[in-house]
Amino acid sequence: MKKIIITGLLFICIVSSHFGQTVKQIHIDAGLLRNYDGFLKLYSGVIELGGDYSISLTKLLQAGVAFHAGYLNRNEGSMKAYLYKPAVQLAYTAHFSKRFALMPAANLGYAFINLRNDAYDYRETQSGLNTGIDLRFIWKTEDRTDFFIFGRYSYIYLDEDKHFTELEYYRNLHQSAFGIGIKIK
Amino acid sequence: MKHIKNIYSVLFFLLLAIVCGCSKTGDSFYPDGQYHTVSDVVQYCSGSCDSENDWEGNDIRVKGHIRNRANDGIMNTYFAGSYFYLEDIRNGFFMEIRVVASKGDIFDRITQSIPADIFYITGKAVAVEVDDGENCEKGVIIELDNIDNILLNAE
Repeated sequence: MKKIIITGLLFICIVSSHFGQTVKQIHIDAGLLRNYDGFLKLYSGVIELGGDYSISLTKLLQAGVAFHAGYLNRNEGSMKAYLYKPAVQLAYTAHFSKRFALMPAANLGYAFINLRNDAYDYRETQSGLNTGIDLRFIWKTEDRTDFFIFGRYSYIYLDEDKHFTELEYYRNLHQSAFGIGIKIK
Repeated sequence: MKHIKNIYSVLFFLLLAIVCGCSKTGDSFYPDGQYHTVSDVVQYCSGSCDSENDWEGNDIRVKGHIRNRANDGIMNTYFAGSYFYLEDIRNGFFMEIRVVASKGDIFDRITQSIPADIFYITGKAVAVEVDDGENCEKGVIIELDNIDNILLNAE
């Protein structure tokens, strides 16, 4: 799976080199994270922060790299989970008016989950393929900064590790995040 | 425009390949084989009340930490009720271990341990049903009847 990510990054670099007059943009966002099912079923989501850097392939299509970090914990006990999600991204911007645009984006990456329980000196990192989609509702301004709210769905398929879990069920993680962000043009 | 179509095609097939690769469901779980984590046992030994399962009434091996080991009040409750909970400290899943014989010896071993000790337990998997009127779900408890079926910090 790591090969896919490296290939993806190379793909982005090659594509970007073919588009001379590119427009670069940065998105930075923060949202409330929620986890569904899987190994982290009993965890409560706290926050996800991150951003992406992308270039315009055309006036409407952007490609780039993204990185998001998330934090989950359990209300009961001292368990914590830190998520790191680097990815490549392909996004499309639909301009509905002078002030409003919709931006769906597809992500493909490789996620790392660092589990901790300080009461037992337990630390472990698991990793796996990460795919997801974002939907941003962008409020456009005349300045260099636009604002948006977003919804994100993220799926992580953990690599097989029989010492960690013997069940497929636990390897499938589904998460969502909803929040706000800024776009720097 | 041709470039864009190509990009979409590549990504579409890439995602399709990934989704196909992620849909494997064959679990190789042998209840009386190696020691399993509490999380795996709780999930594997669950289902609807109508289901019949290979683990019911058979020996199963599980490993985990004693839940609330540091709390003397809860330990007294465990002793009085002849049970304790085994927990997976990675995600908080826990399950009931019911002590059906050798109660004194088993609880002596527990009280001599420290919270960080990992317990390796072999016992009989017994199905329990929880019916809320709408759904009936089956879960598992483990019956423990012998001090020799508890190991600490070793497989």
